[in-house]
Amino acid sequence: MRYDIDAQRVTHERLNEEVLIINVVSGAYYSGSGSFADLWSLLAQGASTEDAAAHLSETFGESAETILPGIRDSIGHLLAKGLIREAPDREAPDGWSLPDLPRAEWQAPSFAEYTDMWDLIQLDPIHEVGEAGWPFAPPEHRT
Amino acid sequence: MTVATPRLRVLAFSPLFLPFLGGIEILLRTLLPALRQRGIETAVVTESAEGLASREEMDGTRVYRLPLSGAVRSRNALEPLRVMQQLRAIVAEERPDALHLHSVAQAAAYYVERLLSQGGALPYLVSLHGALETEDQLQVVRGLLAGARAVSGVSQACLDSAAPFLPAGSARQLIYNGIPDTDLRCAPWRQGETARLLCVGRLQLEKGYDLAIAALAIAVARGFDGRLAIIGRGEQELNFRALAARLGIADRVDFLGELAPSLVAAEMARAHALLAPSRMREGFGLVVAEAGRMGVPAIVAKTGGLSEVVIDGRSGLVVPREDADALADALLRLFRSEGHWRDLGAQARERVVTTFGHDACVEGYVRFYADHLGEKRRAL
Repeated sequence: MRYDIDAQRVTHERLNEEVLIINVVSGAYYSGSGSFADLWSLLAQGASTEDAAAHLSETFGESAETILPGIRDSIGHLLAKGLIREAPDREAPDGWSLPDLPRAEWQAPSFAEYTDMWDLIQLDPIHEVGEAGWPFAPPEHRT
Repeated sequence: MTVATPRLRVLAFSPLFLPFLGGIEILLRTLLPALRQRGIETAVVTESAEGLASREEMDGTRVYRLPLSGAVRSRNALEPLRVMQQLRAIVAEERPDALHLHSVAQAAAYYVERLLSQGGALPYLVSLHGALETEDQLQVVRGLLAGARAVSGVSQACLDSAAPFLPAGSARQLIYNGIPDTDLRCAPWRQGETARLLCVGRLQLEKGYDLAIAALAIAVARGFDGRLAIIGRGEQELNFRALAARLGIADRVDFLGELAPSLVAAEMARAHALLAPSRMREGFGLVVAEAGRMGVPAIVAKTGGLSEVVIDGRSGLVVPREDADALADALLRLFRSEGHWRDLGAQARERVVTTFGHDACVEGYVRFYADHLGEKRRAL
């Protein structure tokens, strides 16, 4: 099974070792690094579970059998969170691309979910600001 | 003066830093140089702001300004990642022995949590400068409080508010804010003279300056002669001005805007009473203590640490939160006689001198680091 990302609901970026995924509908943030960032990159490129296991096995020097359960778990969580969806008709790309970074020992992919980021920044003393940032009030506060 | 070679390097996170002048910023302005004298070198990561450099040295402290909340607000995934990258570079450059979050309910909490989750084995401490409220029970806030080596509070109210977030048996320490000494003293007030009242702080609803304006109107209607000066600016200024006009006391309320610290101090010394009718989130009440140090009595709301700084009926007056009538009553009581007013002012100064001294505050933070960063204990 391959997967795709609903661009209407999910925006994502990777910068070096970290990936950040935002569900723009719910406002939830999902952050991960290490093997998760690599797994996400591969899924975004159209990798199936087996493709990802094979490529990550090679990348991390660990057997595919060893890493497959963790990959399946992580994909299950991503599906449950609505960050990816099954795309049975998606075709395999010609190859895979991952950033050239030093990699630590394999650890099962995991990501953190932050469902209250907006609340967190609202706690800041510079809340009630507009897009331009502090000290500019949002339009509803200007007269 | 001899400056000790740094024996402990701390990377502190503060929602704002100089040139802003809120409670945390005022504390850090005097605390960090004093800690440096004791061998504790602190660099500060804070929120970026229009017109301020992303990196500079202020009073000997390296300051890094990052768009911490702005990157989250952008909802562009690349922006927080860039901030994380900048933060990692700062950590690599500063090589801190520990992190210190001044306030945990701030956007930096997310980045610190990410930093630590990526294998950063840095120990960290948290200092609470505001009372935590129910809405602060956020995942990141809870997680960071649970993992901190120790948590300090600038008042018992701060520490008590954090109790539901903290694991049983976690290390906690009360470190009252310290007020540097001053030669300024409260201007005299004599029976029959106009009483000068002062509010200092950001013009936002949380500070309750609308209650101060309403209380002045009520008291004036009952024969009180007073004027209110408000120092600061903020999103509620127009509303506060409109309220004063609507209540018919616009000519008794002066909005002075933002002033330089020396001018704030001068206005404070001219005042006969400081009003702090805050609705929430007052961890300590620094301006109340600063005024107290000059012998200016305060009327404060019973919220957070304000009612620790002021002992009701002895070093000032404490009124229920959100109660303009009670505040008006307190104004009339405070100024009922010259002797009573003078006595409360003298007691306010005595309390600040004995309980909220600057040296005791510095010593408290040195002990905080020494006690909870065990591997550095001997060095300190």
